[in-house]
Amino acid sequence: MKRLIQSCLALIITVAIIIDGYLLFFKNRNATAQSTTQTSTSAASFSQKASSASQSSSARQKYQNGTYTGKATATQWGDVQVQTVIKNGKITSVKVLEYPNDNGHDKEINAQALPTYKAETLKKQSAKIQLVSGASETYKGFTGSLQNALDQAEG
Amino acid sequence: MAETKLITKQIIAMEMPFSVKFVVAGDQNFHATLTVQKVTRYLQHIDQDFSPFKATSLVCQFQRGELAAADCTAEFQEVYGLVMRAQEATAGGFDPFFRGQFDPTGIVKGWAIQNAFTRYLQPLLTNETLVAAAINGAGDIQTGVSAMTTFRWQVGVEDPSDRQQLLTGFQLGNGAMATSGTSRHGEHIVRQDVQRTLQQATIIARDLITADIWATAAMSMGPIAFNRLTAGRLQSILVDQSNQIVGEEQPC
Repeated sequence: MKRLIQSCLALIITVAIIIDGYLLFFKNRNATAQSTTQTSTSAASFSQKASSASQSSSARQKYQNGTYTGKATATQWGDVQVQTVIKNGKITSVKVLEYPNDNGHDKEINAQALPTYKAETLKKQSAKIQLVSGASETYKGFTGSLQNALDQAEG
Repeated sequence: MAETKLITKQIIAMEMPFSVKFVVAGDQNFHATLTVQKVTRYLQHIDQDFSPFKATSLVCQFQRGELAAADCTAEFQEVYGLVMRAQEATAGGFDPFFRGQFDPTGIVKGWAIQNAFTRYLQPLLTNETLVAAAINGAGDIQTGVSAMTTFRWQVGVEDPSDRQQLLTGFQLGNGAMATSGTSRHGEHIVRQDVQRTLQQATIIARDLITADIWATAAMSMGPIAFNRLTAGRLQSILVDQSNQIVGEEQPC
């Protein structure tokens, strides 16, 4: 029974790889239509917009020369989407696409306005402090720091 | 308020110390090991991909023009998008190009801590066991509390002239604090403010990415340009070269 399931899985995976390969190598021109397939199967989620690809480029290259648009990613500063120029399979430049609904700088500052925390000043060297923010950047900087001392004191 | 227990786990990633903290309800038990392992693994994975010191990282490959299209991961695209947005939003105060080369290091730690927090700690704050959780990565702090608790994190800002002392402190529920400075390793931020007015900049925000970006930007821009651009919409603790807090905003 276990072997049967393993065989089935192997078969499914093989078929998926073949379909994926077919879509990737031969259907690249219809990138917009195929982009959902591409994004779900490859680590780099690009769809091709315009291509100046030379037909002679190696078949092993996953991406033909051209400009590719990545999937939009939601961040706290709104969606970000990058467009990448690919030459000989390597990334030569990246640019961030502008969204027409962007309100410019205000949005990015306003998005953080009115935080939900309640801040109160504490006495210096308060024993109740649990977290310390400073400009230390290395392990060396941390050893002997106040945060380190607090962590040690807590055990 | 009910009794609570504080658990602290130190981990090393990105060649830096991280403190992961859990506040457990007094009558409950919490085993932090698995969660801490997940956080550690995630931070190590981010370091592999984004370290400017590892020749095999995606960032270094990209700098050399050798990043394969297939290796331009969704994470890489997200970071690229974020730092370019940050550069624009801060009018260049946050600069993702160091010596002309793409280098998102200024955001990667804060971004990674925030992601680790959201993925591995935040979901635990919904049950009765865990009251609060926080990650502090060498001064970049993301905190969270459960909806039911009155517990607040006591967060201090280090005095840049004496790192055994605190300059000031705050209470954070769900929030973040990041500090940028020159006190430990000299100048690593390109200054727009030629006077180099600030020796340390701390920002409190809802999320660490925001706090991190604006802390760096404030250092670079100086207090005047920073206040003009943000118009008091971000809470900041800016320390000048004479160790004075400039234009201190009153906590609400």
